[in-house]
Amino acid sequence: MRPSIFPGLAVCTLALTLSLPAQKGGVLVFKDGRWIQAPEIHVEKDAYRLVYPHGQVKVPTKLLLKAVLLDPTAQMKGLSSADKAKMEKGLVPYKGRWVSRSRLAFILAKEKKKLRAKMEEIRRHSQWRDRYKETTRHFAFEYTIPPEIARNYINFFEAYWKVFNKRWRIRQPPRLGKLKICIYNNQKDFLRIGNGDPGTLGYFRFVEPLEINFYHDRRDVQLTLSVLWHECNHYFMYLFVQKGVNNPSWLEEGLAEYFGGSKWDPKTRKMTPGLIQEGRLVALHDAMDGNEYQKLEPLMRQGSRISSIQYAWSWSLCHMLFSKKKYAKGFNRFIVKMAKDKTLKKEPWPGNPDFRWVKPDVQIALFKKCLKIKDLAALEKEWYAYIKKMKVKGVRGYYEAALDCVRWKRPIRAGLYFKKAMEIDPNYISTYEAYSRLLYRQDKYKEAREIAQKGIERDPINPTFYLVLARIEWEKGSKQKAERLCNLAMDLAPDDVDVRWQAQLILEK
Amino acid sequence: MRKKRSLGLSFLVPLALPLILAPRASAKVYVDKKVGFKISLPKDFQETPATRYLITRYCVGAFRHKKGIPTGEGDYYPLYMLCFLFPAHQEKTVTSSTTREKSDQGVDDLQDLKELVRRFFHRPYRNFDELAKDQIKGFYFGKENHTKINGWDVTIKEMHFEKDRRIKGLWLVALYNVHGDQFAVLMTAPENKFRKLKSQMLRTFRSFKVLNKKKGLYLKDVKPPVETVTEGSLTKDERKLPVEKRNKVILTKAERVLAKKIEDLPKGWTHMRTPHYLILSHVDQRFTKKIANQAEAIHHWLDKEFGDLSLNVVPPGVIRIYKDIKDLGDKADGWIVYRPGAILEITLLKQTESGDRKQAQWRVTREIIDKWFTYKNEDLWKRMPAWMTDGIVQYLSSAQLKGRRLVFKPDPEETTTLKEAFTMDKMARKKGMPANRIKPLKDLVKMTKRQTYQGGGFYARYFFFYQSGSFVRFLLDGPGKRMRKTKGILKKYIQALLKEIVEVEKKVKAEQEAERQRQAKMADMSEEERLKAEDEEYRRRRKRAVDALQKEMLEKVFKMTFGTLTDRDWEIIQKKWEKFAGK
Repeated sequence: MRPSIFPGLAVCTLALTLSLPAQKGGVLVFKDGRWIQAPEIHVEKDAYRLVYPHGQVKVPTKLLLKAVLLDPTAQMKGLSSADKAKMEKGLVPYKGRWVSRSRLAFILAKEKKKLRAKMEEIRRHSQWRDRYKETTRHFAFEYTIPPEIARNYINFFEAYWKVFNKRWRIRQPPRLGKLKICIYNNQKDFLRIGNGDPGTLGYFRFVEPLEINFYHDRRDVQLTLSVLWHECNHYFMYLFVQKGVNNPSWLEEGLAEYFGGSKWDPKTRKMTPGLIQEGRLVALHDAMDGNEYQKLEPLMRQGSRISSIQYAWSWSLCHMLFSKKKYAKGFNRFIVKMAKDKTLKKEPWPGNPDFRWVKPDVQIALFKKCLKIKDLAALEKEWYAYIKKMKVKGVRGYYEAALDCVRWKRPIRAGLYFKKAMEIDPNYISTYEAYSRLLYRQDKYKEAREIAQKGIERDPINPTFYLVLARIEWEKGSKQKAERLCNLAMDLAPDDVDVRWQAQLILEK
Repeated sequence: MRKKRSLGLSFLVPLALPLILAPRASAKVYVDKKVGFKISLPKDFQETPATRYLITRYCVGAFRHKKGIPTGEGDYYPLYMLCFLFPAHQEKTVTSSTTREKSDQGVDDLQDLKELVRRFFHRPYRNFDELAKDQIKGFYFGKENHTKINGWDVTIKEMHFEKDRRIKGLWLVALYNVHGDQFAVLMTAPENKFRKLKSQMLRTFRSFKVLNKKKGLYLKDVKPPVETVTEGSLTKDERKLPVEKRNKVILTKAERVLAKKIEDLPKGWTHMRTPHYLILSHVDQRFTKKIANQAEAIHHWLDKEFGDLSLNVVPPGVIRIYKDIKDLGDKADGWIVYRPGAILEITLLKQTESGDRKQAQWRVTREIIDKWFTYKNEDLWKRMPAWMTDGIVQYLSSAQLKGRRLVFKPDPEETTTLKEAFTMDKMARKKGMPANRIKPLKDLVKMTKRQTYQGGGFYARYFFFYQSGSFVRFLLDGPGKRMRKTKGILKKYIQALLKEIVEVEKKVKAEQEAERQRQAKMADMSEEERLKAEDEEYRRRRKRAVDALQKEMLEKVFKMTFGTLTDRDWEIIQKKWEKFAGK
């Protein structure tokens, strides 16, 4: 489990059902914000053992923020003889001290009441019709994520405003009002309620009423931040650029990606743009491997929407131009002129004739003038060399590289990248999910099982791993084991239609 | 004065009463004895195939308003009413999946339509909420109201559609608890007409009745709406027979299938046999004969123009004509997959939902072309370039039947689309922007299927389709027929294609064999060697475009057919065609 980047994270997210579990059960609250109920929970050394109708799951305490057990004394193991003697006297252990049973009953009743109220609050606000609403100076937030998580997103939107405003002055016209920002609890809600397109992580609606929609990915908060910086950048550009005028796509998306690769320090509330977007870098190195170079001038002249690989090229170009001292000031000047200079000749934008853009010839001439370059071809060479020098270092880069290899049917190379990703960040769960599935598809059942088990150690309530194990058991002929694992997966995620569906397909074979 | 007033009142009342009663008096009642319920349909609603909207086995009734409601923007918002049943105790359903399920990348991975439908059809939902969240996009649940209807606990919920929609929707769903099972009735509406439609929706909800209260409801065991047709198909051994013997077997089997279809005809149906088709009809003789003549005319043209493609026989086909969608009934739901060689049955509606009168003729033409070429030479049909397949389809679809003869001329869609394309290109050129809606003919004939979707924006495919149709027309009936450089070029092109296809098939087999050998070699290699081999293979694949094989083939065929044409020749052909097409 990745450590939370939010300090002081309290209880959060997904209430499962309204009713509290049975007397022997309880609720565990994870550090990443999930809650899980179990009908029976046993306390063990450094772990809690959850007992479900079809199996047991061990949850290390290091993954938890807190555990609320309805009967913490139930089936405790590992008691010393002195402890047993105290229990015989009518005392029970509770949070490091011994209390009487009647006192415990009183404390538990209070905790139960608080827990019920908290769960009801979370359950209610997890429905979009009862979403939280909050406004700040420039934004109007609507969200179903817990307020503690939302607080940090809210803080850095305003911080981002400050950063952008310092660079390029922007104004929020009263007519437009505050920008609505909708934050969803998970991807499914984003796709359904937010009407997001599959494959997208967020979007900026640039036709009035303006708004941004995205979802909180608890497993990759850095990615969530990257998405919201990207989308918010479009909004800032919308305010910055003349009305009815569009930036050329390479500039618009390149800048959004540049700011998307920022670093956020929640303690100092400081945002530092311009880090390496590793996923994009992987895509570029892959394209260069296949000799698929994007020429600079056609990219600048492209009026229609650009493809996802062209996002990567545009990002890398902006990254280079901001990073190199000899270009940074000139590039800044170019951006301002493109946005503000009304004398620049414009024409209808090919992507949507309701908008206009600076004529490509004029744009290129201005670009050369501002950056003081004579020859685009030379700049292009420099750009390719710059990209080749950049190295993938982080887990996300290797993870994306591995997925890319899977897509290109390069399982051996994919395996190497997955292993590297696990080395860099052993708690990046997505790596274990994808790698175990790859090994299973290659009929490498022993290795697949090992990886799935490692995944379970880090994310014991993730049904994906149990389904992988179920598939393996099925292939090996252990149908009963497979059935038990499928049912356990469904116990862990009773409301997840996909889990149920996958289990059905496995059991049907 | 008093007399007049009383006259006025007495005049009004008799009129008012029928007006108030009329809508309710005309409400149709839908009864499903198998599931065990009945419900009144709102005015002007009729049954419709359920699988058009949601693929699920839980749907027990689907209805649609005849027209929809005008949006005020020139189109109509469709009004649906869908009924679902979610049993409390669900038996395990068997998808009978045939795929090995080694890929868990979702249905996008599946080539097989059958599998696609089965997977969605059998997706397990415990209640309407789960189904809706899984299959319907863009909404959230709003206000809920708990009440009782005819003794059953009901929750009526709003469904709000807000984001990124041209017309916002506000739907209503009623969820009935019938002995633990959940029965759901979903009704759609645009938000701006919701108030007007709400009372009608609530009336429908209130009309729900369980036929046998004690017994409750029963979810019929419904198979996924995918049917595999095998009648008339050849066995593995039969496919290996020499062509003459194989043809005999095909025709014998076909006659048996046709005889059975006549035998199984329901009451009220007629049949008509033509040289190449068996027409099974539930409509008037005049329309039936029209379709029969159309089918024979198309078949005859294909035989005449392309009969020498191979010695393979095209077995007789079946055309079944229904009155309308209601007559089609259950068969409207779902998909049919044909085993290779199986006798194709073309289903037509005399009265389509859209009201397009020519739809039946257009559809029969397209199906016959596809069937004819598939039987005659499937490899050729698969590999035929897009300009030619689209060209032949448009050329024949636009033809009009005069008696038993086809008269070839462009239809309004072709002329207006091309006119639009010429105009838009002209405007683009003036602005110094790309003008690529109309392709240079020299490029058109080399375009792979993938390339036909590129350039020209959203309508690229339409421009390509109609330009291809017009070019084929130019070659068969227009100046292209008489020009020395293009006379008979279509036939020449096909001959070249036939030759090249043999080479392509060899290449494909060689590539597959090379891959097999590569995999076999890798088994004996060290990890490092295998990684190196994998990287090399990847780089080799990257260099080759996805449609590289098709590109190479088209280049070769182009050289063999048009190789003698100079750039000047192409300019002349282009100009003549543009004039012919109405530029």
